[in-house]
Order: sequence, then structure tokens, then C-alpha cells
Amino acid sequence: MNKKEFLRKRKQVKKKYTALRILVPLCCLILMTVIGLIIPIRPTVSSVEKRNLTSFPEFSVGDFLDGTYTSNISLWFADTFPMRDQLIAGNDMVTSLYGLNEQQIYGEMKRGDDIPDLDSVESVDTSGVNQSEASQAEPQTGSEPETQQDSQTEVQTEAQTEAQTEPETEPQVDGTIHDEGETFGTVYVADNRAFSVYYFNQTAADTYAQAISTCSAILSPNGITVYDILAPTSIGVNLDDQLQEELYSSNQGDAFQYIEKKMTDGVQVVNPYETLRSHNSEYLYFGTDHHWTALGAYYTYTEFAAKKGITPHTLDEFQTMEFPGFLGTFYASSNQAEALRNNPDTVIAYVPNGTNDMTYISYDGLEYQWNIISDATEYDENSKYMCFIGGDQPYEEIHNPEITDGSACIVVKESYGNAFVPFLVDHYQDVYVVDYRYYEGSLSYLALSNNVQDIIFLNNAEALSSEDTVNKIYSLAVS
Amino acid sequence: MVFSSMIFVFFFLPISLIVYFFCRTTKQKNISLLVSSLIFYSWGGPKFLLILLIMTAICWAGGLLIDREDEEKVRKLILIATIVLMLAILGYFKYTGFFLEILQGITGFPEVIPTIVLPIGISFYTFQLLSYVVDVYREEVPAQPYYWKLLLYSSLFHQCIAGPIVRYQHVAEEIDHRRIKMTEMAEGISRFMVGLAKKLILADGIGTLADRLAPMDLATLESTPALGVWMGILCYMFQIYLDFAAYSDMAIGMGKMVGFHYHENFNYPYVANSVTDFWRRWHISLSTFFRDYVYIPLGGNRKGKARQYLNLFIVWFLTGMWHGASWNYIFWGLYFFCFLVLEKAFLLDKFKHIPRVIQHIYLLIVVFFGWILFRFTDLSAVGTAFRGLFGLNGNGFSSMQVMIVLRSNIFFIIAVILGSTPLPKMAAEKFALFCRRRFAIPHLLYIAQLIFPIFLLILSTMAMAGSSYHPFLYFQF
Repeated sequence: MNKKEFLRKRKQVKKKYTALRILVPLCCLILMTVIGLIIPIRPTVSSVEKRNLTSFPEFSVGDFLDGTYTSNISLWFADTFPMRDQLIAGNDMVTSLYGLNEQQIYGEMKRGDDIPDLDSVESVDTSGVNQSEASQAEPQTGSEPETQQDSQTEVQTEAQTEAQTEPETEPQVDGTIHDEGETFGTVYVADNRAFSVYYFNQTAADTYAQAISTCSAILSPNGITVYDILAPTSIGVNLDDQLQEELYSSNQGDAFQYIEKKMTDGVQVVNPYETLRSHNSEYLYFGTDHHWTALGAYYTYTEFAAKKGITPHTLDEFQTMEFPGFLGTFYASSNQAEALRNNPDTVIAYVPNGTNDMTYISYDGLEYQWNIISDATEYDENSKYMCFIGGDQPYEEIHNPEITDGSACIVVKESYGNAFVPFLVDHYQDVYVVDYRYYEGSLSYLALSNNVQDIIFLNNAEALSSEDTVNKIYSLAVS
Repeated sequence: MVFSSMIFVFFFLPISLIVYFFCRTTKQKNISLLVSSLIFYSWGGPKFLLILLIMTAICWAGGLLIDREDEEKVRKLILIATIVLMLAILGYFKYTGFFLEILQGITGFPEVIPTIVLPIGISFYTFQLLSYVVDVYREEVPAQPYYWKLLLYSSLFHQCIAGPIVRYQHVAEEIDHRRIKMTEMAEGISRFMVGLAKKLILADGIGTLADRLAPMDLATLESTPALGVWMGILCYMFQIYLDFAAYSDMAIGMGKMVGFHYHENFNYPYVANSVTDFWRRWHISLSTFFRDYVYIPLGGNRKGKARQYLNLFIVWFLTGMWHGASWNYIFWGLYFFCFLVLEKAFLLDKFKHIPRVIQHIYLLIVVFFGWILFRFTDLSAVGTAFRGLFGLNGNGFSSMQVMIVLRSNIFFIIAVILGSTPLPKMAAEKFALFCRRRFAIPHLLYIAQLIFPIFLLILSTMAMAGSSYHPFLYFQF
């Protein structure tokens, strides 16, 4: 080959590569465009994120003119892109190479309020409660929640309350509550498990104490006892105090003592903090999820039983069910951390002796027959905690056919209550469960019309640090 | 629509490119570009398109009138009228709220300050159009007789909403006559992919760190330990450069794909060794705009020292104000004015005798503190951040949270810092040189050039999907 020929060949090769440098990327873009246009393969739900993905916007002239419509299309286009889960997983893999990951922190980094010195704490004032007009009472002190627009839920009309108990005739449409989801503040990952950093919020704590105390003041003349169960979260139980402090996590023991002291004497406070701490080598909390296990709930139940003066069952009295392969909310919030993926949880559930049947009313107002402990084997890996009492439903009812003494209680809870409720079934003829985040009826009406003796509030430490959730408890507690 | 969104990369851009390449004549190509640009602009709200159309019409008419008029006085009058009109429109949308707030502070009137929505890109296209009219007046470029071609220039989606501020005279010729070379097109595609990855992976990633370490929220910022604030502002310093430079990369890349050559907008600003040098490397299209259309017309340095400093003051006041209608931006501009004056007065002479590395450290420190002013529009937050840097908010030097965040991002932070220097470019050149010397036909180089942009596209796609990830605690149905 002479030089001229070689140069010509080199030029040709270069030209071919240049053509490829144009064609290959352009083909990639076009291929992705085509994939993006195959609407049926777009996902609509994300189970790991626990949300519906953005839907295609509805057209309106106003939205179109100011750009809202088009920007919603962009959002829909990106949020439901085909192969989204795989792409996200790829991204998580890339970001896991960003540094040394023996410990990780996800989310914002802030600090909680200081927990006031117990000596100076006085219980809240409920003297303003007009006990003759129980269901319309409002507290007097300054620690009312700021958002008084919830006041329409405070005074429920009879008609609305009826609608709640007879949902088939008048389904309740709920489109607002679920739009504003709760997300974690800070998630700390170490030793193959995750913890949510707890930030004490004094305003929320005060409002909470006010809410429960007021509820007790309203209903105790009717012979109803109000219990308040304070559930610690895993960071408070599993990590030593010094590590918690270094993470700026407020001390849950101190926080619970503060709240307990803030409550009026009528409220029966159940504080399982020390008991759980003393058992913290056991499987009390999930590593990949923010909930406690049924065992964590069980020790709390024994504390409750002691307070109420009943004999708790021992664990071997229950039939158990096990659902391995659980990757919960921490897994989602830690951008699907590998350390958690390799260490999935097992959900262990204890089936009540009296019955495993229940009824619940869902968000759309429909009534369903369900199991107290459902078989979660086929549930997807992110949803195994849903095996307890049908997950977070606004309203649930359990009737134990083996008890006929007319005993009844209401549990007012967030999702920590789900694992706890099954233990109550063998002690009451009727157990009513409301999730205060979604339930829209009146608590006092529910209590009085069903002749309940006990109202049991159950909240985890973090729910008590959110002014938003506490305001919802307040609205329900005084309704 | 932003360049770094799924809908742009996997819908708008490919389709507009396909349509463009199926057009045969330059006129058809221009029409397709114009239609794409108008759709792109309308995506952010069609009602704002009207303002872009009107402002382009004003400058088009102004340009034509100036071009036809021989009388110097009348020409000047038309120019001034056009400029005043343009600045009035920009001022109305951008600064009404700011001025009313000042007025309210002084006189208590008006009671309610109206909120005026800022049309997307107005700061950029106003300046582009102004440069056109002034250049016509200066007879540096003939007036554009066709409205739609001027509109193509002002609305072109490559640079309309986020710069660079392209001069009409730089592209006037290319609007009517441009040839696409294969190599340039390939380079354009690579450049776009580099910009996309720079934005989605480096800028957005380091931006997330900036927000976590030195949060915008005042209460959280107050509780951040010193190391967090230092590292947070440092991350912000890189975020703002990479973000902006990435947009310029993408604009320049898209221009090259269709035969437009825009000037470079950034030249590794953080390797500068004086503030003067920094502003020759940072947002070049803006600083040259102010130089050519404000500083030099005001007399520049030709009318004595005092006048020169006044001119500099005006330029840097305006530069600050251009960045946003808020005091912190004005202070940010004037902050640089101070250093530029010092450098002109004596510092640059002194620098001749000290090592480059010290000059460089001086520049980085000046710029670092400048970004604190730039980051927080609320001046009390600026104070909080300053106190935070020196541990005066009572949070100690570091915390476990800050250390964990830094450790788990340490390689990324190093990559970002290196990525902001000319090192990657130098390494690529070294590699190319090596391949060319070593092999008769450098297949290795060609394959690398082919694969690298695809690799960046894959990373960017995953990052785009990742940014839509929003997990909740409970089911949100």
C-alpha cells in the first residue's frame, strides 16, 4: 500500500466513524422517543414509593395559557416513563459509588426542639370543657392547633356521622388527604439497617397532650377511660443514647416523659419505652421499614394490659404467620440502598384466638370483609406490613364471637396501631379502629353510640412530632 | 421546557431534528427551526409568547427605521426610543415588584404589591435584541428586513431561555447561509451529551449536597455546624458554575448540530487568578455585552480615572441587577466592583511579584464569599451563613450527620472539583494524541468518541428517572 492509498483509507475510516457518531446517538434518541410514545407500557403506580404516578393532565384553557397544562404534561412524561423502575435502580447503583457507604444519611439535616426540664412542666388545662355538650367542646388554652380551618370536622352533623356508618348508601369521596404525603425527615443507615432520626417538636407535643386530655375530659363523665399509648421508634430503642445525640436525634424517653407529664391525670398513659429498651436485642423493629414488628407491639400490649388490669396472653398462645422478603419504607427512602436490599425483613404476625374476621370501610366509602391477619405471601415486597388489619383504612370493626360481655373499645391510631390491634381482639367483644388521618366521623358519637368503655390512642414518636398529624388527632379527639 | 427534562431529550429534540433534516432548503430549515422554537417557548405558557413577539417586532421596526434614516440625530432618536421601550418592558416584568417594595418601605404606599410573573428568558432575549438594534445603529450589521428571521434569532430555542447571549452579528450570516459539516454535527451531538450529563449528574448532584449541607431554610441553616456551611457553599459554588456551563454546552452543541456557531460562554472560571481574569472566563456573553454596550459607550477608561470607576460602578450595579430583582444581587455585583477597582488600582501590579497559587487562592476566596451573597436573597440569611462559617451560631465545627454525608459523597465531590477544571479536556487531548501517534488508524480513539456520548446519555437518562423518585411513608392513592 502506498502512502496515498493509505491516507485515502484513513480518511474513509474516519468518515465512517463520524457518520456513526451522528447516527448512533440520534438512533438512541429516536428509539427512546418511540418507547416513550408507547403509552400502554408506561407504569401508573409505584409500589416502592407508595404512590400513584402523575396522570396525564386534563385540558383547560386557563391552564393552557399560563403553562400549567404543558408543565403537567412534562411531569407526566417523566414520571411515568417506561422502564422507570429499572432506570431508577441504575441511578441508585451509580450514586452508591459516590463515596464510602458504611454509614449513610438521607434527607434533610435539622435539629429538634429542646425537651423542657420536667420540673417546670405542668399538665394542660381542660377546665374549659363544657361537659354537658360533649361533642361540641373546644379547649381554652393557648396550645390549640394553628389551623382552625379543620373546624368543620370538629362539629360533625348527625347526617355526616350516619353516612360514616352506612357507607353503601352514601360513599364518602376523599380526594384531598392522600395528595399530601408524608415523607421522612432524615434516614440513617448503618449495619445493614435503617433508622429515622427523631426530632422533638414542642408545639406538636403540647397540642397532642391537649387533644388527649380534652378528649378524656369530654368523655370521662360517660364512664369512658382514655388510654394513650406512646410508641417509640427504632432509633430510640435500638441505638445507644450517645449515638442518638450525635445524630441530633431527640431522646424519646425524655420526650415521652414530657408528654406524660403534660397530660391531665384522667388519661391513662402507657409508656413502653423502658420495656422495649430492655428487650432491644429482640426483633422489635424492622430494619428496612419504619414500623415496629408484632413483637414490639406485643411488649407494648403487655404494658397496656398491666395498666388496664387484665392478663395478657403469652406469645405461644397465638398461631403465627410469617412473611419473609419485606423491603419497607426505609428501603424506599434510602434510594433502595444495597445494604438493605441484601437484608430483607420478615413480617411475623400473631393471629387472634377469638376471630380472624373484620370489616373495614375504605377511602372510597365501600365496606369490605377482611382478615385481621391476611396472608401477605403474595403481596409485593414493599407491602408486607399490610397484612395487619387490612393496612391503613379509615375505619375498621372487629367483633369477637367468643366474648359476649358487651366490652368495647376504640383504637385511634396511625399505622403503628395496625400490628397492635390484633392483640386486643381477645379482650373485647367489639374493637373499633379509626385512623385519624383519614377518618372523617365524630369520635364521641362513635364512642357513645357503641357504648365503648375504652378509647385507646396509639401513636409513634414521629407522628407526635408532626404538627400536621397532631392537628388531625386534635380535630378527631374533640369531635 | 428545560433541556435536562425527559420530554425535551426524548420527544422534542429528536422530533425537531428529524423534521429539520428532512427540510431541504435553508429557508425550509429555518421555518422548521422557527416553528420548533415557538412551540418550545409556548411550552412555558403561550401567553408569554406574545411578549416575545412584540419585543421582537419593536426591534425589527427600530432596526429598519434606523437603517433607512440618514440623519444621525434621527437615527439616534429612534435607537434611544427603541432601547427605552425595550427596557421599560423588561423593567415592568422584572423590577416592578422590587421598586414598589422599596417605595413601600419609604412611603408606606402602595399597600399591596402586585405579583407579576416573569416571562421565561426575558432577560436573555431582551439583551439579544438590544445588541441587534445597537449593532444596526453602529452599522456593524445590516438591518434584517424579514420579521420572521429576526424572530428566529430571538426565539431560537438553543439560547432563548438560558443564554448564552448570542449577538445577532455573529449569526446573521448563518441564518441565510450555513453548511452543516459532518464532523461538526458529530461534535455538536457530543457537546450536547456532555452538557446534559454535566447538568444532570454533576450540577444536580452537587446541588442536592449544597441544599443538604447549607440549606436555604433559615431555621435549618442556623443549626448547621461550621463545616456543613463551608462545604455547602463550596458545593453551591460548583453547582452554579456547572449548571450554567452545562446549559451553554447544550446550546452550543445544538447550534453546531444545525450549523450555527455560538461563542463560548465559560472558560474554566475557577482556574482564574484574579477577579478581572474570572470575569473574562465567567458568563462571557454577559460581561462582553456590558463591556460593549454600556462600559465603552460611557467612555470606558478614556475619560480619566474617576470617570472610569464611575463607569465600572454602573456596569457592576447593572450586572448585579440583571441577575435578579433583589438587593443581594446588586450587592453581589458591587462586591465584584470593589475587587475590580482594587485590582485596577494596585493589586494586579502587586500580583506580578507573588506566586500564582496565592493569586489563585485569593480569587477562590473572593468568589466563594460572593456566592453566599448570591445564594440567599434574604439578607438576614446571608448574615446567618456568614456567622455559620465561623461557628458563631453555636453548632460547633462538625457533626456526625455532616461527616456521614461528606464521607458517602467524597468521590463525587472530588470528581466535581476535577470536572470543573481543564483536566478532563487535557486528558482527552492526551489520549487522542497518544492514539494518533501509536496507531496508523486510531480506531481506539474513534470508538471512544463514539461510545462516550452514549455512555453519558445512559447516565443522564438514569439520573432523569432518579429525579422523579419520591417515596412516601404511607400509601398515597
